[in-house]
Amino acid sequence: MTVPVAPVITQGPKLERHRPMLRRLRRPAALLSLCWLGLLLVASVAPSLLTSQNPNGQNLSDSLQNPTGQHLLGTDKLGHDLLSQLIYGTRSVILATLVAGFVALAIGVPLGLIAGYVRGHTEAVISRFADGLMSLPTIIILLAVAGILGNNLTLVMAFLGVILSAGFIRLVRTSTHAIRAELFVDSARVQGVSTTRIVSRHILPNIISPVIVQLTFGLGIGILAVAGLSFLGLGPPPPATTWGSMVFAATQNLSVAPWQLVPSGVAIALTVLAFNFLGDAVTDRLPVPRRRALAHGQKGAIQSEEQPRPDHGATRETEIEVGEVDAADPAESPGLLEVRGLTVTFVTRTGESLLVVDNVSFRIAPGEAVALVGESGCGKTVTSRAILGMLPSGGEISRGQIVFDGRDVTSLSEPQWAKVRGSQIAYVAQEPLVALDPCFSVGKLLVEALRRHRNLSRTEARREATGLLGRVGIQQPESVFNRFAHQLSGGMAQRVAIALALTGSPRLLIADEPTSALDVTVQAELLDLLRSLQEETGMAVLLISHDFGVVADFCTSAVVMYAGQVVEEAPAVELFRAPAHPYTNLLLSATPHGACRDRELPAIEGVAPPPGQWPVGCHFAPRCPRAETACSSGPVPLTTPAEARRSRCLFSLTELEGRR
Amino acid sequence: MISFVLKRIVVSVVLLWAVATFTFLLLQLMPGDPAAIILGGQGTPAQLAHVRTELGLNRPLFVQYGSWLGRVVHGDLGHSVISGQSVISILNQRAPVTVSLAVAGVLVSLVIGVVLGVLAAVRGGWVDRTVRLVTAAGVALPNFWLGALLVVIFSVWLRLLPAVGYASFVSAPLSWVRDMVLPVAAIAAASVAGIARQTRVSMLAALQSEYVQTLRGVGLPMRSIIYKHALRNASIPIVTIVGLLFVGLLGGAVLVEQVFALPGLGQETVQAIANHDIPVLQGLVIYTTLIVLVVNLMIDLAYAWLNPKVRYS
Repeated sequence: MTVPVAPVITQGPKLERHRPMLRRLRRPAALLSLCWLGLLLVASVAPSLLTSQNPNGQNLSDSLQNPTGQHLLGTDKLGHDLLSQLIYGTRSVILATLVAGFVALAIGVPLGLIAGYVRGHTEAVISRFADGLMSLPTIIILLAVAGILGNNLTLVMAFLGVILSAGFIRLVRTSTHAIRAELFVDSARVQGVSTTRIVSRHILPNIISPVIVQLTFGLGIGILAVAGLSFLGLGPPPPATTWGSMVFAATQNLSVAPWQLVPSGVAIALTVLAFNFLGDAVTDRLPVPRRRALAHGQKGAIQSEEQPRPDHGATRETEIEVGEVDAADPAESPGLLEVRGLTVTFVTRTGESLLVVDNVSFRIAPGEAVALVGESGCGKTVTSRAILGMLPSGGEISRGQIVFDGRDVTSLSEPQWAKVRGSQIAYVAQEPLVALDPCFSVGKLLVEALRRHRNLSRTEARREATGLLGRVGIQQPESVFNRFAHQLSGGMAQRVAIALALTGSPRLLIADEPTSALDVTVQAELLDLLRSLQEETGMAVLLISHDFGVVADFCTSAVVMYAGQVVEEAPAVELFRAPAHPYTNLLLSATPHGACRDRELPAIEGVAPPPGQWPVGCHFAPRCPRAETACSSGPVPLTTPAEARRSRCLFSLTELEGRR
Repeated sequence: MISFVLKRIVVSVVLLWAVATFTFLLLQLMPGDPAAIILGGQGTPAQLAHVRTELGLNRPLFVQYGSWLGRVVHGDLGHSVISGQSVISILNQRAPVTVSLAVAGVLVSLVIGVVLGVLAAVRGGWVDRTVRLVTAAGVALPNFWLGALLVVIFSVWLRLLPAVGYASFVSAPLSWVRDMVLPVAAIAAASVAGIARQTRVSMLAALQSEYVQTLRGVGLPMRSIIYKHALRNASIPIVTIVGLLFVGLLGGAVLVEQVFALPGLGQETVQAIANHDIPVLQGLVIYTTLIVLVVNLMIDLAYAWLNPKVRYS
């Protein structure tokens, strides 16, 4: 008995992913584990099938042998064949372990179900019970039970089962909670389905797999416990041998015959491993694409310096367009930020590379406010993360360039990026309450950021930070300075996030839906704040939004994205007056407080196709009211229907004419 | 914060009472005549009567329970039926070995486990795979067996460290360290694995969180983001499992004491079982539960201190 396998605490309960359990068991580790456990089963039921040796056959002349042809795993002090002892000792180990597992299940699952389903007082009592069981000195209690109630392995293991039931109670309770919150359970309740039926039909099937996982870990603990108890001489009485007592016998002859340790120890470890691997397989811990990018943002960059960029089949369209973009604005002065033909691909779980942002180009002049607009899932956030050098793992700029202030920043390393971010390009996230490190006070965060950018003493930084809080419109900077994220309102947290972004006096602020998680009144205040800060500092702003109302308030020009592509770009005023792309037009109509109040459509029908499912032709064609056959026949290029305007529609001109 | 601590103390006291009652009931469930079993079936009637009085078996159940609980509350856990020594003094004498072993185990696991977990989370790739493999093995190896293996390697073959022996930490700290290296390594393998797994998962979660994006956007170097911010956040769930690990380490210590012949609670337990020394066994359960609860209380305090949401509420 060793350390109980500590439950790894993750974010909330995992709901069952529907993947046939049998298929998961086909992984090599799981298959080997099943084979090993199958072998143990045979050894428990019919040990004589596996060995012809008598486990109790003494032969003192064969004492303490290493493996030989006759004794494959050697012999012990009295000349007993170790292999046959191992095989004949299996039954008691497996039986005792199953007793513990069964008791744990029989107590844990019902109590967990009751706690999770009934909730309230009952739940509190049951949870306390489980917590209590978990903080007991398990092994000492088992030993005391064995000592007082007599040397009865089954009974002792039943007690272990009671203690292990705590894990099941917790697991089943949280899973039941999660499932109970699902809509289908609600609707079943509304329809008057009985509780028993809801539990047996809806809840039990969904918790089976996590319970099996817990059971495999419980059985692993059980094996170690049985081994530990019999190691201390509390196993089945002699002459029966079992794995733990074999280890004990081996420890008596360590210096003379160390080999003695091997067979029993390996058998115990393999069995525990087999249970744990089975559990892992059921949890379906497939090689999840790990978010390594954080520490390895540099990795992708290094790769692109060496230019082994994957060819993902972005084709002539790309080439045509890069030329076209360059030709479209040859004479303009260089912008603060120029995104040229930005193409981002992601490597999926299965190893394919998926095009997520397709040849996006736009520019931001110093001090300008540009909006990046589109429905969610259109690539706006990925585009903005690429500009910050913060693509999530698996993401890579496979083509195109990001030029900031005349410098190509596309392939900077992570440390180089860290110098650009904050002082040149800063970032404000969407959800202010989760965007602030919960473990550090507002002041600590600001001071650290300020001292990163400027050579300040702690006191100076502190003064500076309070001033900054005042500048973002916080009423009592001194008091907010010492608060933590959980003590702030959404609006206040967003102000703090903006203050953080300002610590390095950036020249470009990227704000990803900075107001959409906030109340309407707070939204307006924050936009006012951003606008005045922009005027005051002269920084440029890239505002990512799906809300034209926000855009109209704030931005001088707008870039509209749909399914990974730029579909329209225009000065904001022009865009509102006369959209050249049907998508823009529909988006505008769908904005309740937008420019076009007279239209009826509340939303665009259908959803934007996810990456990988984009049509060959115009990406918007399947949802477009004016699509014709030509739209779907091939890629649609960006055109310039009017000065300073671009649109990716075959009918841009007619659209424009129609609205002028 | 204060109410959080008070609540935990109340829960601990209730739990201690429940465990004490359990050990009391255990005696009642004992098959046959406890006095006869304790005396190995050979006592004279006078001896039997003496043991019955010592255990209070000749009085009504309620009275027995009441007076027994009263004595327990006052720290009187009865007397060993073998040596006649008071149980509490036996345990006080034995506990330092076991507790120092377990505490050293906690510290070692925290250091090594956190390093491994952070490496696995941050480096990824083969480092991650290796750490996961090692931790899988760490959980599966029985500690008493690992202890024996370490003795073979380091004492028998390499002759680097002693196989048996115990020096008090207070009187001879250096010898204590030398004697404890192998036992601690044996019991800590599993808890290192536990901490490493938890650290890996918590670090990955922390590194994926929005606030890390904010901090990167502010331009903080990766060093600060990983080791200051993410690790600080990850430490909260890590601390919560230390309590569980301590329980495991204590159990591990009891077993491993047999391998290394350490004069701790484990040896006392095995002797008490062999001698049917029931007061000692009952006392052991209550005593170790108290230790575990105190440790858990300290961990709760650490948790509250680490987590601003608890600290400022």
